[in-house]
Amino acid sequence: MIGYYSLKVPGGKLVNAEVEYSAKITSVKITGDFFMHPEDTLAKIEQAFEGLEKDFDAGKTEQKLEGLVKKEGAELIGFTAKDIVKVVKEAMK
Amino acid sequence: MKWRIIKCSEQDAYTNMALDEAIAEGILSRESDPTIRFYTWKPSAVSIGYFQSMEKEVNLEECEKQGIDVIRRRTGGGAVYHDNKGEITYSVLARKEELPKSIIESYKLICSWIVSGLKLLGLEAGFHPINDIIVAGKKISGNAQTRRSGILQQHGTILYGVDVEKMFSLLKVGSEKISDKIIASVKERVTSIQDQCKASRSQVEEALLEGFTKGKEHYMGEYSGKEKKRAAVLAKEKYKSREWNFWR
Repeated sequence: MIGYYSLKVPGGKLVNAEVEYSAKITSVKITGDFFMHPEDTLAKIEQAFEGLEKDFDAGKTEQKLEGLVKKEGAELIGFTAKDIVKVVKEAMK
Repeated sequence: MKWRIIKCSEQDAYTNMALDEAIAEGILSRESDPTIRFYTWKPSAVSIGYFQSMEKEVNLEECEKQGIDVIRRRTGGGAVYHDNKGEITYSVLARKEELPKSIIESYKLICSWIVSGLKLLGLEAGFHPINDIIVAGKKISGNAQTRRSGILQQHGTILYGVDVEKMFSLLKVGSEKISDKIIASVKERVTSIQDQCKASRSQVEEALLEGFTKGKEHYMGEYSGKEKKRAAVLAKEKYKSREWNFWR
């Protein structure tokens, strides 16, 4: 199945998720009018969802993404790791 | 640091974005000076942010019908309609050490140059984080930044005249995007220089030039032969390619 969800972050940017999944997540594509430096970090964030159970733990995944962002020295502008987790979850509802 | 300033010239979308990248490469190899360039788009074009989906953001059929180019930028942010006569675009390119490390602070600094220019036209402009400039509570300028290979690039548009109907015929704007805006309609939250004062285009260009260069060591320059040659290659091989424009 493929699910799609858009979130306008209050005071921030638009974040969309397109999620391909069955019992597990096959692929995630995040789009939107946000900023991320360095830009390549987004591909790593998307990959971090691959293979996760459909009902993955939001809190743990958020921590994992925050760790990844820190490791990459990345800056997210107009949205947060929590917003990404939210759009991915919502896309599968 | 001595800035090279390149006066306003018009190019197509692919050449405009390719010139930014060619200059960034030149600064990286120390063959080009930090640069502030002004330009317009001929033909008019729609650019989308680096992370946006071309198909979800742009009415491609309508763009083709109206002869509008479509292109992905290497900066984030939203989709923009660049009307040939309705806006002036600028790019600032420099080593990132030359500008504030904080992204918001660097937006604020570069946007203050635009604000200075607009003030010369008698407009009370102000920076509105994250990346906008407003006049009379309405957006007049949108800006976007990237930092790659140690080079900071910020580009943005200053609206001279705005044709909202045309813009909406070319862009797909979802209701989510405008849901939390204080003012409901785009017509009520976007303005242009022509809406605010009687300045001619050349007066606006002069004011922006003054705003961007005030207090800076600078010289008036041109694109180098190497930059133009490299931009031609990038325009053809990267910015016109489906692989780049539709990768998301």
